[in-house]
Formats: sequence, structure tokens, C-alpha cells
Amino acid sequence: MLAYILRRLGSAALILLLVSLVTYLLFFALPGDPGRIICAKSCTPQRLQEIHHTLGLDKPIFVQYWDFMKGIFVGRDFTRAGETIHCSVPCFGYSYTNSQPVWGTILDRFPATISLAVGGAALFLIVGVGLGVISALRAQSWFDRIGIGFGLVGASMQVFVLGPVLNNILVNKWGVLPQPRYTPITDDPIAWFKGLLLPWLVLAFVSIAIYSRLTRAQMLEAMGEDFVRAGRSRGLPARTLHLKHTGRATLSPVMTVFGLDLAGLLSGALITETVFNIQGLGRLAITAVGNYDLPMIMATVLIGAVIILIFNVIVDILYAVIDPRVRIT
Amino acid sequence: MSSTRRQLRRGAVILSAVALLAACGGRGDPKAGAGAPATAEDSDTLPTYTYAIDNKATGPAPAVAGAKAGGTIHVVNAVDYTHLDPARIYVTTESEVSLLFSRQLTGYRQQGTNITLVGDLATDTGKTTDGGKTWKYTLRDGVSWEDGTPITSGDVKYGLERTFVTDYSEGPTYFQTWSAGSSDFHKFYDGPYDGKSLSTISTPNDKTLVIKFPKPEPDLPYAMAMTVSAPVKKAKDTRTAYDKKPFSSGPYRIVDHKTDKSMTLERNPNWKPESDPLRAAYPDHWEFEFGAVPLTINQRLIAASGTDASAITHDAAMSPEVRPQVMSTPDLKARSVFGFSLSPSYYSINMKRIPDIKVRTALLYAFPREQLRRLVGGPDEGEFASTVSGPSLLGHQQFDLFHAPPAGDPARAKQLLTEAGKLGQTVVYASSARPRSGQVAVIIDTALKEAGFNPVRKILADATAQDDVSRPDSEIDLAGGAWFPDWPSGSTMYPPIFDGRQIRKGGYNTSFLNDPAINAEMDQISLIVDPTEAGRRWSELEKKILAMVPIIPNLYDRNRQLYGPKIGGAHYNSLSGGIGLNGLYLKP
Repeated sequence: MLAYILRRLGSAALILLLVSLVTYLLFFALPGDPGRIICAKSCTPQRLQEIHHTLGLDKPIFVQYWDFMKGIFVGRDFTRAGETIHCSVPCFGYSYTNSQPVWGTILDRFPATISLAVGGAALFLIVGVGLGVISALRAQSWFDRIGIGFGLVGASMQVFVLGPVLNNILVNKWGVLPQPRYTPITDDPIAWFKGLLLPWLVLAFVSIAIYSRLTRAQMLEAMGEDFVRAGRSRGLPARTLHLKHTGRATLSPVMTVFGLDLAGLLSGALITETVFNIQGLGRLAITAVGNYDLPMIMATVLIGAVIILIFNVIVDILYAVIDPRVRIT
Repeated sequence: MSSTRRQLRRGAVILSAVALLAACGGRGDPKAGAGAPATAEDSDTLPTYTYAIDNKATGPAPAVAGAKAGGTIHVVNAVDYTHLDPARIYVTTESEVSLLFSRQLTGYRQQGTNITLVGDLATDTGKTTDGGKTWKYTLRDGVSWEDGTPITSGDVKYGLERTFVTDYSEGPTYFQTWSAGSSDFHKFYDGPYDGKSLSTISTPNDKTLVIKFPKPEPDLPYAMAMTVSAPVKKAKDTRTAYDKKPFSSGPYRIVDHKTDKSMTLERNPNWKPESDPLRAAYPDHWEFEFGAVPLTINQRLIAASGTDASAITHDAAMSPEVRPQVMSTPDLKARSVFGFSLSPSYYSINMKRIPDIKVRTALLYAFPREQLRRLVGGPDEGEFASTVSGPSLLGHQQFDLFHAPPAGDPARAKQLLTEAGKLGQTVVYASSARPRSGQVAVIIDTALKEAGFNPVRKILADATAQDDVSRPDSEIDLAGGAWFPDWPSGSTMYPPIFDGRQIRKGGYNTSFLNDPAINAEMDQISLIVDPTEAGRRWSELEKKILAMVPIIPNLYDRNRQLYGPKIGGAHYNSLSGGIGLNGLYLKP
């Protein structure tokens, strides 16, 4: 097990290195120049050059890349507006756009993303799996059909359609829900819950179908397996049979999908965050790309990649825990 | 083509931050009554603006009829103000919000269509006795910082010195260039952080500031109406952090500013209304919310539930999705301010590649402006333009040299083209990969082909479009654009787009007009101290330039913005191109 984890960590590091290098190279390969945004209307070639120098963009690309990567592990010193500022580990540099430390901004935005992701994911997992289990147990019943229909309606919707529509009706017109916004849970748990309720519901609604359908199919398949039939013939109560035996077999694939979904949300739910004005990692990434803010782009991409890699490892390990037939070596 | 125009304009706003005039203090027209848009703006005809310089204006600011002090105004914006440091501001919304907490040497008082430049911190707009080389400013009595200490001429000097710091490169560079006598001003002075002082400014006492330039700079009173002339207290200079929370010299102080999320302003108890001729400062608090989608902002202002009833937006224009609803609902229409952009949009013709004036004139007659306007939203988008300057430019005259029909005159165009012997002339026009560009291209292709041209669509990447259309070896014949001057005088309007010496990659002279006589005349007019005389001369020059057909004037664009029903004193600020913050109050 330990060897497995170490090996996975090694390959994760290699992937991260590649991701960082590709992002860096892509940034310079694409048209656009952060210096132009800064030097504004009165741009002359000379001023542009001065700005490039200040941002370090006049150095060779690989030197810049090396400086950046080194900063993450050992920190860096920056000279800004006549004073030297130490950027401590992990140093992702300073934003080109607003001169703020990138890591500070990431830490500031992460709680909003976590709140949105965890709440939304919990909702679609519980409702999705719940619907799927009941549908499987009562296959072909009216509940099964309605449940599937409900899920499909959600799955065929998009957050950027459903979000603004529900927001306009439930919040602006009827006033049933407050204007969605993120309030830290530590500041006011009730405002946190109320502000995120609509984003969670929308996020869940569009994802429930995947879980209910997957659970239903897996469960039905498992119910037809030999070990279930054997259990039933030995007189096992339905509750034990479903919770312990078919449940386990069903959970493995659901867990795989869920792990990846949650990882995706945690690295920034771009559309949901934009629609509901939640300043999380997704919004940060979009803004950074629009502003050619290289340090911020690098940080959001790398952190997203780290989250996805970690969740992949977790899913693999959980797989073995849930399903005794799987052995990690 | 229109998408390209928008793209270029966006480029102009984002890449070059030329979003209209930088510093401006709007004010509701007292005669217009509470909540009503300024009457002159509320019509389809272009308003006429009256300009004045008032060197005797004193505080307090003229009262807005029916206005009451108190309460909280909410501002729902699509994006946060990127810069609040007065040295780094160039975008109009930033310079306008800055007036709430940063005072400047001079500023604009706008009452309806009367625009007056007055002294803000200074008692007047600046005194010169040698044609604009030496300027003297005296600070008003009772001007103080948020901590109650008096604002000194040294603080204003320190603020101006900070504009030289390379790390604050986002702001305008007029003052620095004039001080150094060259655009390479960092060699002359590099800011106050290494202990050096700027030699062109002296402060004989705490109230007096004397600026000495190597050459006459008659436009200084206007340049000082930009945020660069805001004082900065040395002890409170938090350097790069100043951009998020500047130390207040105005009627409000920033209590809290969470980047990209929110900002809260409260009254600065040490600001004295009698020391300030510009700011009415009616609400007690301002609550800013950043990051909402523009369509959502519009929907919220229409629904006006909860705090949205006392909300405005400072940066979201009216979305096309809600326009029909607003225009057909009298209550909603009455809750919108609207007016014209400072400058019209235009299409520039590359004179290097199309040197024959007959061909350029043919292009002007062939151009399908009406069809393009219909595509982007119809008459509410704007009125057809015939000049390159807008009505709110000092000295602007409305004239039409060609009387080209908005839908184009293909027969006339074809005749001109035949006379020039250039039937079938290829015209490469700038376009983009955006969805609407395809429709625009169809309209342009149809019109130009009918007139005997051979149109060729060239798709440019957004990020490099401005470079592609401005580099001296550009292969583009026709490109959309718009230019917004930094203050309402011709000196920041015409030279950037028509001075041949400003042709460079990334520049804005995209018609490549380079006429030595015109260049020389621009230099000459730039030295005229009397603004009215300068305005008259600029307008004469504009006629001369447009007769050479370097551009096809397109639309005097109309801007419209919604606001909540509890907002009083709402008015269109023609200098910033949107709702004016100054003079707003809460209805009971």
C-alpha cells in the first residue's frame, strides 16, 4: 500500500511539472501581452520595455519559468515601488493586475469554492444515489419513471440557463431566497447557508441524473449477480442484502465518478461561480486569463491539477476499501 | 465590422484604458427635478454643451433640488475597480469613484449640459503669467485628510511625484512628459522612493504649489482634473497596497475593500462641505458589490427587491436582452439615464494603402451604416455621425461634409470608383472570429460589392488586433475604432489619431494620415492658452482633416443605464458616459 502511494505521488509530481511547463509555454505562445494592459493608452515601446523589465518578462522564458517554480519551494524576493518584499513559501508571485500576492488571493478564494463544491456535491450525491437505489428496488414502477424523468430534465439543463432563470424568479421576482452570495461560515452560518442554497440546488439538479442512473443500473446489475441470489436463497433479510452486499458493489463506480466530480468542483466551478457571483477559484482563473495575469493563471491551474491528482489517489484507495476484490499493489 | 469596432473599442478600454474622460464630477441638473434625466440628453437629437472655466467657484457644491442627506446607496458592478491609487487610475469609472475619497487640484462641475472646470483643492484652475510654462496653485482653507490633519501643497507634490514610479505605470503620462520635456521621463525623474524630489515643482509654503515646465503647457488645468493631481500623504503611502485603500481626502473614507468582492465607504467626518465646490455627498454610506453578471445586474435593478431598490450600477450598460422590456415599460424607462458617448465610433481607412481620395470617398458613400446599426440593436444604439469629435468636446461643431445616406449610396460610390479608374478595388477589412462578425461581414460584403469594390474579410485575434491595424506595414484597409479624449479639448482628441508622428505599432493613428501641414498646425493649436480659441481652431482643423477622408464617421453611440426606484438625483454624466455618482441621494 505504502509503495503504491509513493509511486502515485511520484507520478503526480511529474504530471504537475508537465502541466506547469505546458501552461507557461502556452501563455507565451498565445498572442497578447500583460505589459500592454498595464501601460494603457500612453504606451510607447520604451514604456512597454520598462514594464516588461519590472515584471521580469524581459528574461528568457525558461529563466522566468525556473524563477517561478523555485519560488514555490524556496520563496522569492520582489522589488515593488521601491521596497523589497519577501514572498514566502509557497510563493506564486504577485498578480500583474493588482500587485497582490497570488497565494494570499488563492487562500482568500478557496473557502468559497469549498463551500460551493462540498454543499452541491453532497446534495447531488445523496439525492442522486437515493433516487437510484429506490428506482432499482422498484424498477419499472411509477416512482422509477418519474425519478428518471426528473433526473433527465436536470441533466439536459445547463447551469448558465437554469441559474439565471431561477435567480430571476425565486430571488428577484418572488423574493423566496436571498440574493446568492458567499458569506464565510465563520462570519454568519445562516447567511452562509442561505446565500449558497440556490447555487447548491442548481448545481445538484444538473448532476443528479448521472448518479441516479448510474446507481440504478449498477444496483440492478448487482441484484442479478450470483452472490446476491445466493444470499437471498440463504434467507438474508432484504435490508442486509441491499445495504451490505449490493450496496458495496454499486458504490465503487459511483465513488469513482463522484471523486472526479468533486475534484473538478473544488478546482473551481467556473460557470456556477460566475452565474451566482461567488468569488471562488473558478472566477479567479477566468479573470486571470482575461487579464494575461500569468502568476495567477499558473497558480489556479496548478492548484486545480493538485486537487484532481489527490482525489484520483483517494478514489483508488477507497476503491480497495469498499470492494474487497480489488487489491492495490 | 461592428463586432470588430466593439472589439477594438473594448481593446481601447481594456488595453489602453481610454474609457472616456478620466476625471469628471457630474452633477444632477437641479431644474430637471429628482430622478429625471437631464432634459437635453432625453431626446434623440445631439445636445449642445456649454463650457466654462470658473476660477471663483467656492464650496459647498450647488444643492440638488429635493435632495436629502443620509442612507446607503448600493452599487452593483460587474467588476471591481482595478485601481484606486490616484497615480494608477486611467479608466473613467475609477476616476469617478475616486472623487468620493480623493480630491484633486481641479475638477468638473456638470449641470445638465453646462460643464465648468473649477478649482477643487485649489482656489482656481491654475494661474499662469507666461503662456503656460509656469503655473501657480493655492490650496483652499479647511481642506483636510481623514485623520483631521490639513492637506498641504507638499502632499499634492508628493502625489504628483508618485506618478513617475515605474510600478505605477497604468495612469496617464501628460504631467510626467511635460515635466521632463520628453516621453522618456524616467531618465529625468524616477519617483520619490529613493528620496529624490521633483525639480519642476516647488512649494514656497504649505498652501502654494508652483509648477515650472520647460515648454508652455496650456492644458494643465484639464490635466490636473485627472486623478494624478490628488494629494498623497507620505506617512500614509502604503505603496502597492495604496491601490486598494487610499487614505481619504474626500467626503468618504474606505472602511473595507475586499478585492473583487465588495467595498464599503462611510462619511469622512473631517471633510468640510464649505471647502469643496464639487461634491454634494448626500448618502451616509456606499456599499459596492462586485462580480455580478451584467444581465443579472439589469434584472435585479428591474425587479428592485430589497436593497436593489436603492441601487445603481456604475459599469453595466443596459443588456440587449432587457432593452425591449425597459423601452416599452414607462416606469422602467423613467428609471434609466441615457446620453451619448463622448466620441462617435468610426471606421478608419488606411491612407497608405488607399492613397486616392476618390477611392476613399467612394468607400464612404458605399458604407452600410444603417444596416449595421440594425444588426446591433437599431436606433437606440446611436445616431449616425458625420464628425470624429463628439458634442461634448470643447469647440465641437456639427457639420456634414459628404451627406452620405446612412444606408449608403452605391451608385455614387461606383461612379467615383469608375472616375478613379479603380473599379474592382480590393478592400481588406478587419474582422474578428466572434459570432456576430460573420453577419457583419455579410452586410459589408454585400454593400461594397454593389459599389464595385472587392471586399476581403481578414479575421484578427482580439489580443493583437490593435497592433495589427496600427503597425506601419499593416495590411488592413478598413478597421473600426473609437477614440475618447482625456479631457474635453482637442489636444487629446485629434493628435493621437491624426498626427503622423504618432504612427506606431499599438498606436491609434490607424488611418495613417501623415500630413506635415496638419502635424504643424496641431503643434501650433496645442500652444493656444485660451480654450475657446483653441476649440474653434481644432474644429476648423477637423473639417480640413475629414475632407481628406481618413475615416468614415459611424455612430454617436447612445449609452443607457438603469437605476433603482429609491435613487434620487440620477443623471447622465456626459464626461464619463454613464450614471454620475455625484449628487445622487436616497428618496424617503
